Amino acid sequence: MKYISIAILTAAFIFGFGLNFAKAQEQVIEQSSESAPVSAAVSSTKTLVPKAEKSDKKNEVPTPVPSPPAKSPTMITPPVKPATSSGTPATPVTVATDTPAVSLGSCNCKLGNSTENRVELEDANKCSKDRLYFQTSLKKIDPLFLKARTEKEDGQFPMACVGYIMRKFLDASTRPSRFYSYCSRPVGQPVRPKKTHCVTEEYVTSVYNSYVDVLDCLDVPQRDLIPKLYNESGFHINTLGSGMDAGVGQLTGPAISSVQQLAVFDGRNMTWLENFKEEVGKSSKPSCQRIAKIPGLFSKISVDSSQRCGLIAAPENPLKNVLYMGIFYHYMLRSQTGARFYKGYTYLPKGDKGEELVAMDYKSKDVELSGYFAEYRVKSRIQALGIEKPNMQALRQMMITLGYNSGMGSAFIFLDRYLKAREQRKLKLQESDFDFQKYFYSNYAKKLKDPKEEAQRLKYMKIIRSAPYKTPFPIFLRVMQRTGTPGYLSAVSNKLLQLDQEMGEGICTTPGFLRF
Amino acid sequence: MYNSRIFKVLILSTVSLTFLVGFKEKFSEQNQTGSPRIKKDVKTDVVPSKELPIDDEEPIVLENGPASDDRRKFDGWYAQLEDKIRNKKTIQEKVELLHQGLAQIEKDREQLQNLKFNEEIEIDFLIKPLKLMPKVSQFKTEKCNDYKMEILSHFDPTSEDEVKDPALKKALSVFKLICTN
Repeated sequence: MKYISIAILTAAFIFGFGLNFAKAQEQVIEQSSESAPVSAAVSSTKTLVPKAEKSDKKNEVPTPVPSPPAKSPTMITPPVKPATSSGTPATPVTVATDTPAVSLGSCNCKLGNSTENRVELEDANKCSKDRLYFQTSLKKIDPLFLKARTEKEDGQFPMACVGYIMRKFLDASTRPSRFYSYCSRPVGQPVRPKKTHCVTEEYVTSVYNSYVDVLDCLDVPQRDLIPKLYNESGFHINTLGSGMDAGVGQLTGPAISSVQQLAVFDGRNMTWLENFKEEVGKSSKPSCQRIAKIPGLFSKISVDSSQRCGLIAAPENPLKNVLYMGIFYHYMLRSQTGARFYKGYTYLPKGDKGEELVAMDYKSKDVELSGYFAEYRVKSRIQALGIEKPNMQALRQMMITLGYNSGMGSAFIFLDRYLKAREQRKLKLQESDFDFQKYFYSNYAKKLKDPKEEAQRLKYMKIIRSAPYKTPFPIFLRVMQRTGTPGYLSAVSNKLLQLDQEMGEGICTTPGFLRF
Repeated sequence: MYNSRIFKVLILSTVSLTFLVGFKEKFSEQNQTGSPRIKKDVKTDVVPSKELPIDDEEPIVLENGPASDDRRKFDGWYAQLEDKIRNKKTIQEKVELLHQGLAQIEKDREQLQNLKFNEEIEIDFLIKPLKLMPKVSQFKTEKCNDYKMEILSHFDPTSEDEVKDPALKKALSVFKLICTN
């Protein structure tokens, strides 16, 4: 009996300890996955590797050259790591059994634990479980948007831009951030805080394809919005701002409401969403045809801030979110220029009564615009102030980007009052007065060591505070922008400069953006 | 015999305890799945995230001195309009008066020559958002929320319920005299 009892006791201890031991092992697994380097990825992701290496000039990210010299002594330049001569990994962290990390090309950057100067994606197997909360729902996205595209179907910029931004933006890979959220369904309120979702190939591809298709179909210049999205959402589908601005496009209640608002389209009363559904359906563009195939994409969502999951949850998003962002772009475009959207193309009204429509040429600088531009007589006033050939396309880009933040009505109040103040005081304008890449308020706000320079700075600060209309438009906006974030366009410009320096000039950005 | 029973009870309780402790660890709240690999999302305290630089967000105080006489004059007209709207009984009367009043104020404003440039902007924010309201023939009370959203969309799309700009806030208070809900 004694022997039996001792045997049972021993077995029980061993088994019981065994269970606890399993738990101890689990902790080790969790810890190791959290701290694992992401550069040694496994590859379920082979399709992209050759793309980064092929010699397609359009999509190839060039090996970065050393940072360009500052365009002005006043320009803010983000800290940049020096580029290696070859752009090849300096210290590869690979294990013999692993395949190389998915790389989208070279950069002048350092992303997390990845190899220097490479835009590498993360491997789901190396990310901790609490960074893979969307993994299952992402897999349910239509394969049209989940798989890497052929060269022909690609966008106007390389996918490396999206991969770079997603990895660079608000890194919460170790500690959750309240700016990241989670939705299991497309209804209800998002849950926060969350860690940055693992930047896997599937994740980046789904965002890139959605963005490229929607913007191509809606005829929105694809690189125009990249610095804005870098500044706001980092292209993450679950970014949630303090004002409940949700997802990739950081959409708010008023923006959602505008997309679902009734308007008159060629004598017919319908919502913007309904009109775009019709026009997208009529388009022969492959991007539009892919979008039109997605069931429920054009269905309405709740405007209520407690229902923001409608613009975050996958698999409905990121496509739905980007679609709403694109339609809101046209909503603003119509108010600022009178533009209309038909079958995948944008048209501007021409003639005194706008009876004729001409296709919008985004490259043409000297363009006649209706809407707020005509109402405020912007072009003729700028001409009268000394800029003979104002770059109206650049100004349109500035105003629409500002419109997302301050509202289009507000954006034109600021521009109108800036021009009026200069007209009243007979202060001429120069093209550089609209250069957001050159002028930053923060350059004047910091105390300088040199007494002469400091005296000069204080003098300038006095002008900024008492007569900001005497300063360039970027400084004026930093002081006078009353709605949205003061200095918003300067923040976007900062991201643009960072992208140009780290990804190569004009790779992820529109050349000449935010300047005349 | 007695000692042997005590010994058996001791053994049984030890065995039960050992099993229970093991199972408790495995199937506790912290790990409901029972899987050694899947961990339930741990609720961690919010750590202040590193904010991206936005060209120095500190508000800039303008050196403009006290409000001009013209501005005070304008504020008087605006307050009068507000009072008149408040005293109207029907929504239709209120909407009609709003548009008439705004048109008159805009006309009178042109005569004000000594407004400071920042006051001009403030006045724009008091008038222009309200001009987006439909005329009385098209006004529908049930669409009040849409009207409010349209104003916000054009003048402050990043705010939902919390408009911060004082002038826009004031304009919305006039809006609320018509659209009470």
